[in-house]
Amino acid sequence: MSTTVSASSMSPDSPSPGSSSARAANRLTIFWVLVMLALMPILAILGMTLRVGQSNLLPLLDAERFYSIMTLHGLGMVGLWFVAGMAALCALLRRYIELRNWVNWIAFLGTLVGVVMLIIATLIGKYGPGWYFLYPLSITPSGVWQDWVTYTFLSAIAVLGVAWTVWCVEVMWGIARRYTLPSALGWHYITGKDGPEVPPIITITTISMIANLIGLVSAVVMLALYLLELLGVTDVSDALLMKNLVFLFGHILVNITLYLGVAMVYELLPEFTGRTWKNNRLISLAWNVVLALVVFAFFHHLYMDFVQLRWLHVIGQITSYASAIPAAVMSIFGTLAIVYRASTRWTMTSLLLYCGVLGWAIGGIGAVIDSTIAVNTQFHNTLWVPGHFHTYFLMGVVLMILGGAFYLSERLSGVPENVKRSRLIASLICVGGYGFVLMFYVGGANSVPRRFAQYTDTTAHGSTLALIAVLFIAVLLAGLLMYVWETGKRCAIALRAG
Amino acid sequence: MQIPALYIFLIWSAITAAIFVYVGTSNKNPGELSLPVYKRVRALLFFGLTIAAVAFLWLTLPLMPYPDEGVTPDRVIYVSTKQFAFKMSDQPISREDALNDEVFLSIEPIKAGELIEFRVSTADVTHGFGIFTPQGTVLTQTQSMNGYVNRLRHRFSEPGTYPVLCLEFCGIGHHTMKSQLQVVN
Repeated sequence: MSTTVSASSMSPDSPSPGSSSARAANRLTIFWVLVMLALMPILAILGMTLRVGQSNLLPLLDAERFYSIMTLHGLGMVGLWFVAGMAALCALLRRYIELRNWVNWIAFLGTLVGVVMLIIATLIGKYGPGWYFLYPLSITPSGVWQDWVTYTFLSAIAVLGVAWTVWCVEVMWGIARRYTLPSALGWHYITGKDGPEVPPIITITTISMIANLIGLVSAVVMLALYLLELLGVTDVSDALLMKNLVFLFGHILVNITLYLGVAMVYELLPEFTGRTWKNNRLISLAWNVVLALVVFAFFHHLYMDFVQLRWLHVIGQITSYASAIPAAVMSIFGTLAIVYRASTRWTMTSLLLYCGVLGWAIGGIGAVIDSTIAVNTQFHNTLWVPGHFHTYFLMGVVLMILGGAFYLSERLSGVPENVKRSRLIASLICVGGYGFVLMFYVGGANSVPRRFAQYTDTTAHGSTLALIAVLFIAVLLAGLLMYVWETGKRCAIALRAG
Repeated sequence: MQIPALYIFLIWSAITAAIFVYVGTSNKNPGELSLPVYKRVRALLFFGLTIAAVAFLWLTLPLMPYPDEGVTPDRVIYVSTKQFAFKMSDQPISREDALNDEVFLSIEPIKAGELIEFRVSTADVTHGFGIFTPQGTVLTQTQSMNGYVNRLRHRFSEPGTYPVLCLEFCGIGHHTMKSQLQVVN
């Protein structure tokens, strides 16, 4: 049996080689993938360092360093997978719409500047309030960092926010020019009226961009409040308001990153199964419902703030439960239907996309359990939270994006893959990844708090779990590094070929 | 509740993974997808999940930990947090006392069976007020937030020493922020 798959057989719509615009777009896509390949192992090793520190395996970290690395790992991963998802998605969207390269360049350069500023603030300045930089800890150095570090960090968030807003608007503008926004949202499918054929990737992207703009508006308000306080215009900001704003922003950013990955699944997986996955009334309806729910589900992050209006807590639980239904019925079950008894070619791309949907489903189960207010009382800020977060992020959207990025690198380089090697990579990632996240769940169920630089006394058993997790991370990292090699060499070949 | 939740999670995850493996390996026996069967299973999934969601909402929303205004607590304990310590008192804690590291406060032991209301506030950043069982399991918690007082109620059923840990990341000493509650018969 042959173990290679022709790259050319998977590229039904390769851009015209004569088009300089297409070549420039492809080159930028490769740059994005290379940035992803460079940052992913670094940020993963930083995350591993945290678990090594908690395991007492090596006395590597003092608390200052631990929490600044924790901040960089969290923020870096959230930002990295958003931009990687956007970049891969933009490359696929060009099948249907035109996107201007210079806007993509603004996003690229803005992201690089923002990331450098974040690295300076955290690794050099020891900025360490955690990835959601909860107010007022975010501007309370307590002797750990200096004032310039706070300004650098907030400026980094502002730079990233501006770059990503421009990017989102460009994608929406590109979609609106071709389809109009109501059509892109699939409203003609829902109402039964005539309209253009809209691929699911367009509808999901439109939903994601609208949601993300809502989140970015929230970030702008939050940054404005920070600025007023730092300039002395206001005394203090309202801590509850600031917490709502940061979670509205952060929750939406993480969720739409997930949707970007799911959009790739809708677009790419059918190519490997030989079946079509077209938009219809139910798919459009499901994703419009998702848009309505995703902007309210963030209230589940504030269950333990008892002064929050009680009905907002209830809305948080209802919308968290409800948002799982369209995801499970349309996207997860849809994935199974596309694959069931199809002549599926299991390659790197299809395996990672499919495993990504599984990770989304399993992480979703953990998240729904935690979104139950009565359960959250015991699980809030225990290791259960990074457990479900890493499951639907690392084992979910990250795998989807890695699948999409490999697809693009293979298509642009024309280098076929070794399927046996691809299966080994997917196996290492799955064994290492699920072993790693399982230790989080076991820790959460045994009341081990998250974000502890050291586990002692009441929480001492957290060290043992961290040690086991480190072993699984090593396996995961082996798989990721093999992936980096396979995808990186294809990117290099594609760049050389122009 | 934690361990049963873990088992529920593991069982559903294993079922989900088994379905994915079964479907993923079905390419060895390729065939057409029956559209009517697909639609029927999808409808079943939709109604099944919807009914399950409504049922769990109905079962769990009454268990919310927020104070019932119609019930008067037997005792009020004031809790103030500051990087990286808890202060507890049977009397309201002034901001000056909350901020002053030289001021040490204490409370009388809690009697098992009494309904206690903890009024939790902070003198600086947001913290968590997490009460653990003597065996080290999270019993209940709330957050302390600048400018607000969170009221957490709990009735301790057994005597013992209950550790209190900060459960919201609050800075470099977060993992050292601890206290305890004495519960007596």
